[in-house]
Amino acid sequence: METNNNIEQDIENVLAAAKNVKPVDAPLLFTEKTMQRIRAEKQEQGFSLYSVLKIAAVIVLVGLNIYTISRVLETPLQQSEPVKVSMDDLVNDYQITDVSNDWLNNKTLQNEQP
Amino acid sequence: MPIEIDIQALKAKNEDAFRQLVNAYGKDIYNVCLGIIPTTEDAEDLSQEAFVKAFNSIDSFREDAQIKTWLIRIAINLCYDHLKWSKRKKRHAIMQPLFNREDEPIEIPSNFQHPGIALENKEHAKVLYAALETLPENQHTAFLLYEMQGLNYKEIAETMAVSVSSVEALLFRARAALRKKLHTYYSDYASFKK
Repeated sequence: METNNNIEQDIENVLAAAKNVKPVDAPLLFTEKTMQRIRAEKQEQGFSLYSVLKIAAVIVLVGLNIYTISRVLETPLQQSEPVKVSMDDLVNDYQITDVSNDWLNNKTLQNEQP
Repeated sequence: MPIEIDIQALKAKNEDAFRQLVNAYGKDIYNVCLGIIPTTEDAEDLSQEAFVKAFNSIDSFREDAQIKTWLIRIAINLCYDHLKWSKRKKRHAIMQPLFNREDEPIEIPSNFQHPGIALENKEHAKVLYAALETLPENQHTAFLLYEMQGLNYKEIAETMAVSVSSVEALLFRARAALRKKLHTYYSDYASFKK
């Protein structure tokens, strides 16, 4: 019975402890520390916005490249007419022109004269 | 007397307005955090975190509520998240999801350092805090705000986004549950001493 009374007393004391909790002041420099964290958060948000812009710029550049490459691949190549090279053309292109051998003959003749 | 805070300046993320807000409610928020997490460093960190969160989500603040109750709600949610996280970190945490919070035994915290509790009350306060941790969150919050923070029913109802009658019911259930848990705790303690 005594134990039960003690238990009841302990319970009352514990419940009364709730009323005995005194409010305490915020720690030293609480406002300053909090403002520092808020400022850091603000900067981080600015930084993340800058990063998002950079990523967006890279995506736009890559997209433009892909678009350009696909356009280039889609466009059909202009068909050039097949070049038929005949032997006559070849001869015409590389034939010995009307160069005569006279100059050679002349030179020989000159050398033979006393 | 309610403190005048320029909500529009807060929404414009004006630094001076936030400084004013921290100066006005820093103490209240710190005490609320200490009411759930009785460790000075953690309570300070969580109360600062509450203001940072308020800064980030100030756009979602509806001006029909008091900014103080809105801040308290943010702080309480952060504290419960911290409590869950620290419980998960403990050994045997894998077994915890198998039990309801209500079925948890009272575990006296080892790192109890509440500067607002006198030395002669410290042992009882430790038991009270440990018992409160085992209550459902809404009962814990109602008890904390009414018994320890001295808020009235209307303010508690606004903070918890419930009706005043619900607050009364929660307080009644919290006291009954506390008595039951404490009775079990002290009975076990008495039989252990024998």
